[in-house]
Amino acid sequence: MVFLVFVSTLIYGGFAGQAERGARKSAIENHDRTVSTKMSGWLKDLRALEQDDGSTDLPSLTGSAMDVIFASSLPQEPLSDFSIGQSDLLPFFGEISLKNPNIRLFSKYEFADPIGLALGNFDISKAVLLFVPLMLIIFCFDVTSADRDSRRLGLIMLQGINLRNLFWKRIFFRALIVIGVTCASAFAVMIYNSQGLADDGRFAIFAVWMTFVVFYGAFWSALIAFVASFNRSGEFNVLTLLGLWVGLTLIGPATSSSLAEALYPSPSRLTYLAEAREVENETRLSEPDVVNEFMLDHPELLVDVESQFPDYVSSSFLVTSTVDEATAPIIAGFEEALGRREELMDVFRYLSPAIAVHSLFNEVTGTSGRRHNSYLMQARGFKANYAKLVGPNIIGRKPISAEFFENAPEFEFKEEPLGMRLGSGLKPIIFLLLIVFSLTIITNRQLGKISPVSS
Amino acid sequence: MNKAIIVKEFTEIVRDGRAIILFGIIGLLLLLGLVTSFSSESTRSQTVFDARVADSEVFNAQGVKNPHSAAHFSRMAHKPVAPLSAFDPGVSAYVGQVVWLEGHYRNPAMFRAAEDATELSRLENFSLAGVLTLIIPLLVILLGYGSIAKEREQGTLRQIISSGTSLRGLLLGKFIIVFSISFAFLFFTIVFAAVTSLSVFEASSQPLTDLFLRSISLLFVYGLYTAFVTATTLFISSLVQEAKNSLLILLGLWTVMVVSLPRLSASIAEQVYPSPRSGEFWEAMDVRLSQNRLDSSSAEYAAAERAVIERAFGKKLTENEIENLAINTRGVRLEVSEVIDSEIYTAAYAELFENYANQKNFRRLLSIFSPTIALQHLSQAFSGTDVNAHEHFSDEAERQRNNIVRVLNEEMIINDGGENLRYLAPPEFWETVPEFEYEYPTLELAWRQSGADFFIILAWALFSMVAMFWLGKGRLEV
Repeated sequence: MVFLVFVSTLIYGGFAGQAERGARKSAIENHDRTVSTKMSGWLKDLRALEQDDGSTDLPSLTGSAMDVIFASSLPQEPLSDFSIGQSDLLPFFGEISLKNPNIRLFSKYEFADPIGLALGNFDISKAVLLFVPLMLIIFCFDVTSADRDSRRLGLIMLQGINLRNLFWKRIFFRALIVIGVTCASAFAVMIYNSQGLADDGRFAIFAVWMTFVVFYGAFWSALIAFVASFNRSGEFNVLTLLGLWVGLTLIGPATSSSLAEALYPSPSRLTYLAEAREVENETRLSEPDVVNEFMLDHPELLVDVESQFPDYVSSSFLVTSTVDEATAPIIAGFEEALGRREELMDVFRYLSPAIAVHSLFNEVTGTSGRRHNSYLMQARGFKANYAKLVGPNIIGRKPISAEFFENAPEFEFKEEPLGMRLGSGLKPIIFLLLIVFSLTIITNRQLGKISPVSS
Repeated sequence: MNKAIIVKEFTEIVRDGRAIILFGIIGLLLLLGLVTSFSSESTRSQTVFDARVADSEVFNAQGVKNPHSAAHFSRMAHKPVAPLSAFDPGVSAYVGQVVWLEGHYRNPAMFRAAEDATELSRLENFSLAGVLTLIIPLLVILLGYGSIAKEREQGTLRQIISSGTSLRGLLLGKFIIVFSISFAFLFFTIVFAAVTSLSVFEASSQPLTDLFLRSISLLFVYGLYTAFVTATTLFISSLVQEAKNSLLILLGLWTVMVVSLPRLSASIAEQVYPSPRSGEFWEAMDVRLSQNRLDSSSAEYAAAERAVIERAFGKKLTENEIENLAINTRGVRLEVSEVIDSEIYTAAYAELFENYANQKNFRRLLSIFSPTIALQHLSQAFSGTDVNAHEHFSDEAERQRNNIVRVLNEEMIINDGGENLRYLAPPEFWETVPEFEYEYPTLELAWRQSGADFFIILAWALFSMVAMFWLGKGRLEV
């Protein structure tokens, strides 16, 4: 019954992750389609302008670089259905346009249920993190305490049975069942969710994910064995192990997170917004000075005084550019705070396998906060490069050419190799593996101290 | 005799090292929660205040400017700190903090605080409410799992019964002590959270009585929840023969009802009532807006124009009077489209929040398997941090947006008799635009919207206590 519930939870986690990934993929496809349609229309008008046969009535902003929109998205990794991570909360697609300052670039978020977000998403990785230790505790806590509580352990030992052998065989067998069922369920989920997908390294990444699951199971098995080796009652074992589970899986992560945020708080977005609006207003009020400064930086620039482009186009560009430049230190502040928190979290990963494995699950499935923030940074960088490229055209009130537009680079997310993404997260795993080995050695020694008389 | 049982139970608990350790851990967690929530809420409250002042200043410093341009720059509506967000932050970090009250568009709230939090906070995040919901039941289980089962195992149960103690009295005594200890944690936590809220609040924005009543409401529902957990613990303890089995069953129930089901219920609710994707939402909005534009030659449009003009001049006007007015017709058209579009936005957002309500109702249905779900709804509602509170803020912000844009459009309508948008309002005009004075919804609204959750948790508490006293008594083998 317990196994049935456990397996159902894992399978449901797989299903929920798949549904979430499907929704993300469809949102990205829709976004790409929408931008492509808009820009096809824009390009068609521009070509008509360049042919200039006067037969069509074109909008006055035809060819304006301000109207160009780029589609941007964070590609979905092959195994992203296994961990939703931060992908339900952080932006993963958006239009890059010079009309919006950076502060509003991704301000229209997804409408996911706020309570679902607050309680945390549910996927197969989350199910493994929370429930595999519990399953191991349920099936392994009484590896010898059941015999001890029934006063059979001494009799067993007196029959010449090697307690160490018996202990390790039982632990190994029971843990193997739990971890085996977990891996088999995950494999089934992986196969089912792969329907209609190209391999694209999915199996290989799944193997990596599975390795972390096995490590996680091994850690908890070693911990359970260690507690059980003290030869106390089943009650004692359950209470101690549950306390460890609550501490390492719930309290530890929550406390670490609170500490990191208290020690390295993010700058306030409201302050960022207030600053941006102040700069926007000041720029508008001193627009002639701002234009002069731009012209001084671009002495080669000639303004087309007969252009049909309205004044507000170049005003809008100047305002947006100035706001982005003025608020760049604030964004740098956000990134610095994030970096410091990540460094602190690197330390906490050594203290709890749940913290270590949680971050590795997110990295291996491509749904980590770090990857999302990298996407946001790259999107802002792309926008800044485009602004440098077309700024003179906009201020000079000149359209860009169709050839220029077709040769302009599109946004492409630069992916960090998986090895690098996992790199810093593997050291805590190695450390925790050493803990596993140490616990095993200590447990073995403890078992040697148990005598038939004391049992 | 009850007094003797209570004294005896209390003495045993005090002597139990594990209980003392757990008290210490819970106390530490609550203290940490209190300190971090006080720190973050007071910072946030100050930040919101400063942001509001800065926004007012920058709006008033626009100088000479066309009102329509000002409608695009517009104002921001900042969401104030919720009455008891120090206790239960609810969904505050997952809905936006500020709404841009821009002309032509009803924007969603921006800047979800959770986006700047660590990704580990998605695994577990302990607010004060989180500690009370998750850890206090563990405390109750630890204190109560062996109450009857252990007495039976040790053979002392028979002695207690033979000494004249009634079974009901025994259960009542154990219930009182376990419940009292847990309730003490609840009481002090909620009181300290309320005091914290007082110190970070702008007193004018929330009546003290409302804060007091919210705290009482929280104490009441958390008390019912604790009563349910205590009664269930004693019920299970009285049913099973061994204390170890009692512990295993109770921990299993805790894992399912407290840890798993609330998360699962939210996930399942999202599958059953999926939230709209933002891309689809905004595309559908564009389509609805364009479909609802009135033909400028229609009678309906003419009526809308008349209503706008009459409102601008503050009186009824005849056809002749309107024709002879020197008004900016462009301004009239802008205001008419604003009025029409606002209805579409209101309907679309109402559908969005209705979807959230459907998700909540589905979760409510699942609370027949776990009262923790109902408790979470109530806790957020009374703390002012649930989705309904955000909907209230969003609607009030929209009302303010309509107000601001109307004032700006009317400035153009009345003061510029031309067709163009070149009218420039004087610098002192911006100060006449009304400020956003937001008042949090009252506790009465929270009770009305969460009444069903209250009855669910009441039912669970009553059912478990009946089970404990009657069924447990009937099965109490000594």
